[in-house]
Amino acid sequence: MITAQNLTKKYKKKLAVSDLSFTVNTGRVTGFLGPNGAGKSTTMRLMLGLDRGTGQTLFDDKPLNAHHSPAKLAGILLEAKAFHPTRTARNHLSVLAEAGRIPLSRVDEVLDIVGLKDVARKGPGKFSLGMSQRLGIAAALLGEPRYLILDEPANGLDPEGIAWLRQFIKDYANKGNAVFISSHLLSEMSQMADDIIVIGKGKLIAQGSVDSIIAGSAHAGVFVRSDDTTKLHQTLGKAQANYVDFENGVKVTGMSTEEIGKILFSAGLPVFELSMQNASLEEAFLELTAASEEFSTKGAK
Amino acid sequence: MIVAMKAEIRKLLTVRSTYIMLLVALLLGGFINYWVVGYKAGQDITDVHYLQNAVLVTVYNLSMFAGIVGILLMTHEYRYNTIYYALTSMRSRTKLLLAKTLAVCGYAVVYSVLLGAFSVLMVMLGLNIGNHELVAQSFQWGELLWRGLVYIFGITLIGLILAILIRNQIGTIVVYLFMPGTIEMLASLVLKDKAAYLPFTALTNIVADKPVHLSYAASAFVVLSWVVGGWIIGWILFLRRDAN
Repeated sequence: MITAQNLTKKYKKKLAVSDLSFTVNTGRVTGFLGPNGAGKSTTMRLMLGLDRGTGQTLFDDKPLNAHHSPAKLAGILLEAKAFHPTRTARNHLSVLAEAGRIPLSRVDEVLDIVGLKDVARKGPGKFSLGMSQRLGIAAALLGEPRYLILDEPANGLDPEGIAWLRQFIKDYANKGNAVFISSHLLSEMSQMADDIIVIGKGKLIAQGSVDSIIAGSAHAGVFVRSDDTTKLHQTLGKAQANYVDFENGVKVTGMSTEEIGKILFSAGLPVFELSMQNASLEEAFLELTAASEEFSTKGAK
Repeated sequence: MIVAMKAEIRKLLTVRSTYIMLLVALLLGGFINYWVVGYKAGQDITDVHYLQNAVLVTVYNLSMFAGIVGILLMTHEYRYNTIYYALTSMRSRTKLLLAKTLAVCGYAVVYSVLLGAFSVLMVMLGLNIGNHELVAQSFQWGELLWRGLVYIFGITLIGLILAILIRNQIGTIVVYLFMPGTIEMLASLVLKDKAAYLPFTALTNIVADKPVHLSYAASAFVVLSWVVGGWIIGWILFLRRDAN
């Protein structure tokens, strides 16, 4: 388990990350979401000890650099283009393997996994963004780590690459590993992640399973339609339900279809429609981060 | 530590610049020693230390290329953001910095030995083709070794230390190239004799035919002080600064 405790980072006057605490569990994919400038990358850098701030992050109860071979515990991808452009892909990974006490035989294995075997002896300077991402993923996988920390790994990948990455990450977590992944691709995240951590302006906004985050959205609820809207309002009001008018009925939040069904049955109200309305992760995300967008386009004409 | 050293050496050996710098130095040193020192040799050919001086002058003139390799080893990490791999695969930032320092020193020794040996060969070739008779040569091995090594370590480590402090590749190279000829020369106008305590001036004094203001040993001590002091400041900053 990764435990981030009270992470805080201040740049001169700006508080980039503020007292942020969360956990990343093994066997699960944890998505890390937030608007631009929310502090996602800074948080990842703080977790890894790359940036100096306050708070601490424990990997299996110890800071990363207290482990004998950090590269075998945590595989990291923070930036796709983090390589010397003329050092061949194979040599780039060999350097990382050497530093991480990882057998050099693993280099060819990971190149094969990410599909870069054919360009292993080429300098990655002319690699496309997608190929660079694959090389970054190969670097993260070198030590067969229990924890994968990936910052926007799907950036630049083609649809086939994204599908491969999605399945790979799910399989990796299913083997008992933890994957902590930030992404702007919310539809991808909803298919990939089990848990979600949402931050805004450096602060924790929400943490929980994808289902619970979506269920907590105002867009989620139970749609009820009846021929007697006035009586419907009165009945729901008496039951102290939260509801809003929605299309030609009402949307009730915070109650299950069963609970609402029983209430309306007791009131003798004919019900023409009673259905669960699911929000998307995108709707839930936009709702959660509405107040913490650093660079908003709202109001632009 | 051995693991970190091996990784740093691998970094050095897997980029073109390491070989390009050595090749440029060998070509320049080879040409100068063949043509100027060998083929066009003058009256000083009767000096029993003729070859020894040739080696020292070559190392003196061309060791900045080894310093640039040291600068690149450090600044490539920041320029290409590989520093995050370097720091997260190591348990200690101090070990990483020490490994870089030792790797650069190792490279400097190999560089100097190759350059020195090639220089001697090219002088001999030039003398032979130019039909010059060289008197029996005497090498003061101890003198040659300590002055040559202090110089090459000094100039290479100053480059590395500047890189640790500045981190920007172009900025470091510019400062490194301008420091001896421009910055220290201007400073010497103000400092007069005390300019002998400046790092590059002291370095130059170590390989001079005759020492000026300070003895060879005193100049070596000055260089050592700069290197140790600079390294400690760089080390503290390396521990405290964000890795970007």
